Amino acid sequence: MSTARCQSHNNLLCRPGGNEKLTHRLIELGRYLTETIPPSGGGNRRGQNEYCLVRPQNFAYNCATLIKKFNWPIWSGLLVSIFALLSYPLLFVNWPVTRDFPWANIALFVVAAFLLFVGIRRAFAPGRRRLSKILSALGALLSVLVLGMFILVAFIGSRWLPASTRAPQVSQKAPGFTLNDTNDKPVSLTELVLQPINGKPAKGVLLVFYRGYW
Amino acid sequence: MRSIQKNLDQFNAVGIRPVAISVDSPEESRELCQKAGYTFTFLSDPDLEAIGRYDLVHKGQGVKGHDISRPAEFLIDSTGTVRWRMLTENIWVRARPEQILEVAKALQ
Repeated sequence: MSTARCQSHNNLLCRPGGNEKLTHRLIELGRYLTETIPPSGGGNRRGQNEYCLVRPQNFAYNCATLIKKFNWPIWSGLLVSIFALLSYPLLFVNWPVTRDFPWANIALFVVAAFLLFVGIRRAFAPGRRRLSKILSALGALLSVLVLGMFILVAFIGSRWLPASTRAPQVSQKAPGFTLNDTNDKPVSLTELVLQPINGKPAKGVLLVFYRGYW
Repeated sequence: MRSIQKNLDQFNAVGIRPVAISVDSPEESRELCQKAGYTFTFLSDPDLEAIGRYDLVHKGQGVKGHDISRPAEFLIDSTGTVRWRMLTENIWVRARPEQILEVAKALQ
């Protein structure tokens, strides 16, 4: 590591009187990281510029290259699949059309699958680093897990219900009960059936049993 | 529940009183009603009195592993007879208000 070379770099890492050994290592690291990146413009000769990671113009160039190299289809695919899972209980249950059958969520998973397919193809194209392949495969695997959770929540777990074979059938007498309302006042089924609604005699009661918010 | 609240005027117009039943305490139901703006009757059945009689107990499904009610709807006429019911096979699928109103209109 010659001082002359350092000066020619006008580099933050190459201040005279700095830690020569550390500087050398950093420069080597810089050389390794930017090996495949051609020097940026500005009339610099290659030898001068190729491993100056910290130089502002190179920093911008390297950032742009990283963004270009970033396998965005994989990670956006993962994000879309997470949204596809969470949006069912949090958003699409609000409309019967998207709740009775999760069309919207399945469509989102199809979009995610397309993005993952594009991303995987990109990651396993020739010239990609092994790290990129590993990370992309990991992203795709996580998305598959998210899809599995969705299938469990929307199609399998939601059907684990008791048989209720002794539930009153149509044209049978409905079993009576007396329960407290939200004012802690006991109310019986008979009262509910007989109490007039807005001054007119009631025709019936719709009992809605629900899971509760525990 | 949301769709029932939205159609509450129509239910009342055909003489039907919607009543929600769960294991939640009266305080919990009161909070829910205030937060969600529900104005129809909510009943509290922590001892599974009605839920048991209607054979709707879903064992161990509460957050603390306690028994709760499975989702179900019953339309009962003024003589106390069941005129329509829905025992869903999938917790995400519930009766639609239009469906219930249709049956309700046929009641005397």
